[in-house]
Amino acid sequence: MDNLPGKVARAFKEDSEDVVTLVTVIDLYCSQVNREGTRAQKEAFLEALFCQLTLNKEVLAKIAWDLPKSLLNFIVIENVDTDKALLKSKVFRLVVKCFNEISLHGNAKECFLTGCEILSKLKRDNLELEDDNAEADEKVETSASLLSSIELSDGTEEARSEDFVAEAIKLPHEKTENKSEDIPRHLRDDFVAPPLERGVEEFILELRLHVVLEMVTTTLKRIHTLYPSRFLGMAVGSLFAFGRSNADQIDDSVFVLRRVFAFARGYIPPQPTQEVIRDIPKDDYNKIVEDENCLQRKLLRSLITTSLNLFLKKSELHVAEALFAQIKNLQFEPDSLWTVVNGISSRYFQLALSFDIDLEKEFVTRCIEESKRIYQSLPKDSEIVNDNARKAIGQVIYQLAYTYNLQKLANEKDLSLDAGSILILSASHFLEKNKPLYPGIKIDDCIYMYLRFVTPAMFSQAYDHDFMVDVCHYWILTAVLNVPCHENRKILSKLPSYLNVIFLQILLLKATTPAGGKQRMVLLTTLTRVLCLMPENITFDFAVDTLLSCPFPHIKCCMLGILKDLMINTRPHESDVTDALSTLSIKDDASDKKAPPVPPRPFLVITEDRMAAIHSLALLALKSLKQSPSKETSTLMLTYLNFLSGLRMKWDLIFLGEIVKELSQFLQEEESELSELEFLRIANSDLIAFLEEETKA
Amino acid sequence: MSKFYALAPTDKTGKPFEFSQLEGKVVLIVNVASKCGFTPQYKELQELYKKYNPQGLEIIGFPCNQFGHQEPGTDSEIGQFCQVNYGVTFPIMKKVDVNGSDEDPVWAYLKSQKSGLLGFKGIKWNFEKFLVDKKGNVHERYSSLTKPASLENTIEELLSQ
Repeated sequence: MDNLPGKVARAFKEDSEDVVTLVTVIDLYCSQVNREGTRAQKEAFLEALFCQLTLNKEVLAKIAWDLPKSLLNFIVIENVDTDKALLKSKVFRLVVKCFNEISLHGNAKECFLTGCEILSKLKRDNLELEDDNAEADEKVETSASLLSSIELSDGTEEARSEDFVAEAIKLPHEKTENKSEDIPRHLRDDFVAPPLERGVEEFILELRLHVVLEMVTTTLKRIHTLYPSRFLGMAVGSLFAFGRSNADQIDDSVFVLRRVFAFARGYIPPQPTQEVIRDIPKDDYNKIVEDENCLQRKLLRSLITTSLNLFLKKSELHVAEALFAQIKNLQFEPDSLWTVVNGISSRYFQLALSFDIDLEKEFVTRCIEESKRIYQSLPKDSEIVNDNARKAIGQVIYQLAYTYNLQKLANEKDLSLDAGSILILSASHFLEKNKPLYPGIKIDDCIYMYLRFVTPAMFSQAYDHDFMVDVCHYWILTAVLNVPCHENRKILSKLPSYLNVIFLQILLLKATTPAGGKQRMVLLTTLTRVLCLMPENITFDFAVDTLLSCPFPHIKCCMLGILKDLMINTRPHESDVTDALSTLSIKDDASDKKAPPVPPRPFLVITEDRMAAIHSLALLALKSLKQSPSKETSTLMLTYLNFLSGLRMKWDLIFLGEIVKELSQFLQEEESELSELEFLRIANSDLIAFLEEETKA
Repeated sequence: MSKFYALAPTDKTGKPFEFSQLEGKVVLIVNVASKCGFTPQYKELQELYKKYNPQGLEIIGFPCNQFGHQEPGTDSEIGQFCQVNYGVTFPIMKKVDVNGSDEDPVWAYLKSQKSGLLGFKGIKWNFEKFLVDKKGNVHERYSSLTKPASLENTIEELLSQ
């Protein structure tokens, strides 16, 4: 094993004419030393190989395309010290230096194609084959945070092809911070990479991605061609393939997005040689250039938008929460992850503008109008003959967007912008400019958009996209806040009731599931405001249906809370129309007097029928509690009591008495030690006291 | 008369900077940022200005925070930065957007006159440059990678016309 460096040198000397033999020998040595050698032996071997590559440029030009796969096999966890700066991982450093030689002196087209091929096949899962010691679920504190600081080399494109080892390893922000020090902080012996939890496989995958993508980028610049779009198309295709294979498994997708951003922003089209230009008539040449430019523009736009959609699936910008905080003058306190995700989204947003994407136009076309088209053929309420038909249509609505997506995917022939990415960029617009991308949005636009982007995930995990759901919530809140209430009410009253109900069902589900308390509060507020705007019968029927059929007790509790608010709170002085009516001057005796103010009216008027419906539901909850006393059933009953307590002045006392009586009986007999039962006893006693007072009065 | 001379962006003090005063001059317009890798280009820009301003070259800097948020300061902070670090004496305007719905009319005009790489009209990064001739025509557009000093010959040519 110790002789391998010498053997490499000899192979270059003896087999330089027979490149097939030479590459076979190098591959063999690579796998042998990587499999059996010590770290020191690997370093010595790679040092020797690098030396030979720099000394034999002509040979390198012939064999370069064959080396990347063998070299990448050295980027495995046992060869990289995860707790130190990458620059101190000598094996990694030497591999990168070899790649640098390959990129600069190998046959550009061959190496580019090799790079694309590797890129499209890079998989997080595949690493286990080459990395037997890495346990699949192992999490380590890696120097990944150091890797993440391989920042975009803003303004340093000139240096790119010079030596990307330096670029890969440097910490750009330290260039200024440590100017006065001889040794940069990350090179000092006592340096320990800041910890960041990340799977070993992902760490290695990202290192490999970085190295290969740099090779693709560098070789692409060295290619001479009249048709650069073909090569750009290959690079974009392989990045998409990488994304499709890995996006769902990558925790730190910002790293990948940074790489893609650097590639897209730094792209300079390969140029043809002067000989080629000379041989083509000028008009023909100009036409080719024009067509090629057009294709490349489309490819770059497609690359950045599709990448955003692919890699931001598991991220969120809490943009609805940010809007809520802005409206309520609250402090929006994002965490450090938010800052990172927002940073990269912001860069993509600006790059989209640089690439002439008219975001507002695209948002209207691809998000609003296209979503509306999906649901435009739905029948009116009056055309639905019975409940079965209504249920069937409900099912259709849930599936419509998913089917549409599949058909679109199958029929897509052109490189179009991705609607989901435009939706994502609309969030960045708000966060960048503090105003909505499309201020004219209406509540029905938001409902169609919501159904279109949220429902497909119910049929395929491939469409699970937390980011997009968050942005949809932001738009709903925007429409609710920006458009006058009377206008929103009018719009909602014109939508088919079953469509409204399905929208409310999904919104309720999403509002009751987020992990963060603030987000949950924002979504429940949004839902409450939407319910205030819906036709009363839809709101009440939806509430009753939820309380009757929803399988999740915590959602029923939320619904009761909302229902109480709607029945207690009164509408603010009604719309402009009402104001206008109250100031109308009618020429009669009282001509100078204003009309009397409209009496306050709750968002949901309490009627006999509505009381009866809720009473029945409360009795059902009590029945469940009696049958199986548990935390869930007692919490639900307690919520009913709170509801009734809040509305007791308006409620039917007979109904109230019935509940109180039955509950008292149960509580007397029940011996369970559930703490919730004690709360029930207290709440019930309050109601009993209230009823006794009322009876006396 | 070129539409260029009808433009009047706002300078750093909030007053309109009438482009009509630029008639007959060669003008180099740059979107600048204080915290960019290209910020040292200020030095070459100032050298160009010092050398050719007496012959009719005007350089105008438009601070812009759109690229990597690399121009976060206020207009007065930006002005001070340019003066202290690079001795800039050419006019620096009020901070603007160069892309998107809020883009400054100057930049909308310049971009409409000359596209960049691949025919994209959008500005890609800080320190892109537009060179305007004495008649108000956009002569050329240069990427951030083009160093100001490399424009000397073209500027001399335009000045001599």
